[in-house]
Amino acid sequence: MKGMIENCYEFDVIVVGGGHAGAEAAAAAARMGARTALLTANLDTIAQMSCNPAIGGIAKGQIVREVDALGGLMGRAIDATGIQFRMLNRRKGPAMHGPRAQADRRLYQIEVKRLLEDQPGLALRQELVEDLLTERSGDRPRVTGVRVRGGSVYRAPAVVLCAGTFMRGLLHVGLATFPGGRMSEETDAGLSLALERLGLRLARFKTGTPPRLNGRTIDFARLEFQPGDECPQPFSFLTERIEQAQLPCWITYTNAAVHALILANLDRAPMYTGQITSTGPRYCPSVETKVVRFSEKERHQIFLEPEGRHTQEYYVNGLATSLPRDVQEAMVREIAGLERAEIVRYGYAIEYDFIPPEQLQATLQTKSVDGLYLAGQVNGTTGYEEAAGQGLLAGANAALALRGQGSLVLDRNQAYMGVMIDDLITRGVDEPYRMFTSRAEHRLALRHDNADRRLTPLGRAVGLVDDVRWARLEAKQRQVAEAMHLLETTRVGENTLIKLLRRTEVSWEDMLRLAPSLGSVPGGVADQVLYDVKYAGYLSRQAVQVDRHRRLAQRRIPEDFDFASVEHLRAEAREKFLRFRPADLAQASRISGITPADLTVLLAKLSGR
Amino acid sequence: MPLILDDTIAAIASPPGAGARGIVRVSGPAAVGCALAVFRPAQAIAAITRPSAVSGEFCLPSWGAALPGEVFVWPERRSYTGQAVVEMHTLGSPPLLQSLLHAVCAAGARLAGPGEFTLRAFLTGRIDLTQAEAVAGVIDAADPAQLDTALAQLAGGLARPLAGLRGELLDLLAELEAGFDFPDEDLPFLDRASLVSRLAAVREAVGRLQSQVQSRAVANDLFRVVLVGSPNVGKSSLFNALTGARALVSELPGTTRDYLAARLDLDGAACLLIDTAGHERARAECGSDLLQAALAMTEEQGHEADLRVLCLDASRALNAAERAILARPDDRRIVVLTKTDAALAQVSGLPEGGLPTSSVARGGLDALRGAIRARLVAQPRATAVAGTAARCRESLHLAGESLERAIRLADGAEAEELLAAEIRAALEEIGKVAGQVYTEDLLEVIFSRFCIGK
Repeated sequence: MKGMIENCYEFDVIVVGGGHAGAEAAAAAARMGARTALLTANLDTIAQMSCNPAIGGIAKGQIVREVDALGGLMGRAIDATGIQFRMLNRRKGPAMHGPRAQADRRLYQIEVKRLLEDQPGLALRQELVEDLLTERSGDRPRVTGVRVRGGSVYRAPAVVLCAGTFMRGLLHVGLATFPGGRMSEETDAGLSLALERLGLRLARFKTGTPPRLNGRTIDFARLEFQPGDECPQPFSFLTERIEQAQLPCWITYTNAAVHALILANLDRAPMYTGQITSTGPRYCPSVETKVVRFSEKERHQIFLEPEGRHTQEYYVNGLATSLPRDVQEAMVREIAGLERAEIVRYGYAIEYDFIPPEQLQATLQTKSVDGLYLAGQVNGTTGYEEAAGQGLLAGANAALALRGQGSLVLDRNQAYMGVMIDDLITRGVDEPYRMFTSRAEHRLALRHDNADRRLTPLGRAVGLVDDVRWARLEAKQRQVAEAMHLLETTRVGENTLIKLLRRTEVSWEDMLRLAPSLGSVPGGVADQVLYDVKYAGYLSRQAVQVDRHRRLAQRRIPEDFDFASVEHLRAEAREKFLRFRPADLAQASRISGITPADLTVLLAKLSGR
Repeated sequence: MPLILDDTIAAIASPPGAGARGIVRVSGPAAVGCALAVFRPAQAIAAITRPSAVSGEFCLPSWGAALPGEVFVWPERRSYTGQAVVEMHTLGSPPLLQSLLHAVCAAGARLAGPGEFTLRAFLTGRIDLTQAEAVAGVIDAADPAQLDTALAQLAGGLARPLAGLRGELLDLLAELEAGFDFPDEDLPFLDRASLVSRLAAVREAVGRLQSQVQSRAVANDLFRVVLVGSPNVGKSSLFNALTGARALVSELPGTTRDYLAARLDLDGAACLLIDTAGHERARAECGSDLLQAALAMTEEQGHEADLRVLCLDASRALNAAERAILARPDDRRIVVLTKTDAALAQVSGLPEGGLPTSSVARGGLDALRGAIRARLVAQPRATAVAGTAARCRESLHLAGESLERAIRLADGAEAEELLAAEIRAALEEIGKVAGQVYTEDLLEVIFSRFCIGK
């Protein structure tokens, strides 16, 4: 049947892949009114958590809140299906708080699938995409659709590719290797080949997972107990409260016997035999890497995370490995509480193709192929949250482009999502990219609790945010403004209340004593006011920096600008500019190794002289 | 160092060193406001709509008395940079000009980077393409390698101790940041007491560097005149004859370089006269042949100098190295013939126009002083070093302030993210001199130090 078109379907936006990026991309495009198709090889693995069954964490939790503030799915889905909620870093200041929840893996998937099914304008199809369709438009290719297994064709002017680890995925368990996108899931090389044919450069990364255990065989009496928060806080700004019962996680440790076992079997560890050559994430190392690199450490922490309410399966966080099965079994049984534990799934490592993200614009459209957007792990990131954030923005930008209505690009001082995409396109990646608060220089402004105030208005402006969410934000903004006004106008002796509240030793409770009318301010709003006031000094100092960058960003660099022709440019600067092709002077200034002198030269050339 | 074109910049525009007249130039929207803050009568400036000059006084709280001077004002679109420009002319004393510049910065300007005035002029079309070399010069001056060299000379290697402080701050920050980003890992805990003491140590070191830069700034603001020439042509005798018994001859503070420098007063102007004879003595010990001599001279030629006084022995014929140097054009050179008292006969091949001198008979010295002075006045010194020094001082000052706030926060058990914000601010300032810290540097420290990840 090769070459014959079986069937042809027409859409505005096609999303390839139904993981965390694909789900958000499809939902966002459809919310904005684009006729959207989500194509996934298996409808039962939509929003699959390939790694641990948890959403959020430090910096990642902030991204979930941002995705939610723009009308995304992730926050609502985890609120509905979480089995343990914890606010991390509670003892630090509010900007450091990061919400995290353990998910019921199956329920989470079903909830996301249900939300997608519910979304008007969105078609879900079980299809294995094998090729990208393009045509020449002027001197560059533009995407026209995809071809799926069996020869049918989906046509659309925009394709969002969210293929995760499925592009030429190669699994490793000990010395055995076999192709696959996840364990027991089929993959196809067609997409990689299509991207290469279009001139995109591909590279390889590696990641890994630990074994999973049968809970019936775990001796919980020997483990440390970790409960969830007493007052679980929801992720979504639409969720009032979390009502479901929570399950605990469990903590144990590796020991000298485990380490000895690993060291004795390094000759069968793909990470050390040369079988795996690609780079994995430093912050998520395999247990063999931890034991080798930090040999002075006597033990490493292990979290046992429940996979759900209706299963006894446990995820052994901290024991990611690609050692052979017999070593995995022996290793587990050396660990306190796991002496009789049975493995139900073995750990494995996976190598996969990604597209180095400096080939993207800030909209996540590729620089070289019109209409082709990339989001999620294909861009060299890790993490469900990072993927979701990219998916949402890629889907929204695809829809905006079709309407001819500009783009949705977030600044580094507006959102963690903005930091992430800017990092990806201006710095590239040397290892799988994960978000940290350290990456966000304006993190005092990027709190999880104010994500709605930061982003919902932007989402509303482009059509991502519905009336219910918008009304909520408006009410909250009004209450914040009223409380602020009260603080600014109420005097105690010489000082206004707001001046008093700026002092570190003064608390909200002190305010309530001085101005009892503040008692009617809801807790969430009071927090907003309190945090805004406490950080105000720092935020205004940062505002100077933000302003400088904003002005630099106004100096746009034309897309076809010939960096090679700029005289006087240092060789390194020229090479960096050619590789990253910055879109404006602010972005150019953030490329590592670029000096003010390089910018001067660039600016002189840009000014037409 | 972001490149901004529409804020207000200020710099000392007169040649470095003591002169009859000093100029602080300001360009940008706040230029007139800056002048209003320091000049009386202020109302005379406020009303200006055409390029004009006003006489009056500069009043700064830190000065005991008001200083006479003039303010030249070019309103927007009538100036060299295309922005409002103000020039403040007053006495040419470096410390006074520094405090005037400081006051102008407090009134809304920031210190200009090297060549920034020229750049603005270029970009607003005030300079045409034929003057593009000026822009190339800007680019060169801003090259980090050159700044490094300038800095190393300026402060006897300021960049290196700063790099050490940067490393220590990065370590401290990594401890805090690891605690923020990996709260679930069992990481070692950095107690507040050691945090405070380590921060205090960095603060102290920054303070030491500040005073070091301060004390060297004056000597280094001087026009540098270097005596160059083959060994034994009489450079040291000339040095002694010019500076006289009154001159304070000492090693340049803070350097271990084996050369002598002395301040030379020239009728109201001043320069720093440098003799590299010590270099030569060290070299003589390992055998002095023609090649050695040539090397020595080349090295001196490369020495950061505003003016080179090339000494040629009038009592002998030129050697090959001297002929080679003379063959190269050099507009920062004065040729001097030494030992003219000992020249028995006219030696052929000596360059015309060489100033004849005799250190023994003290002949020709006034003519040489006059020639140096004429060059000093005519040839403004490249300001890269002076500009860098000023920015360096500002960065150290701001870093010190951030560190002090950080210490208070650490001491008062305040939120760690604010503490981290101050350390980041200090690092950014130090980074302007010692190299920026990128997130990757920070993560590198965290991941190499701690076993992170489950």
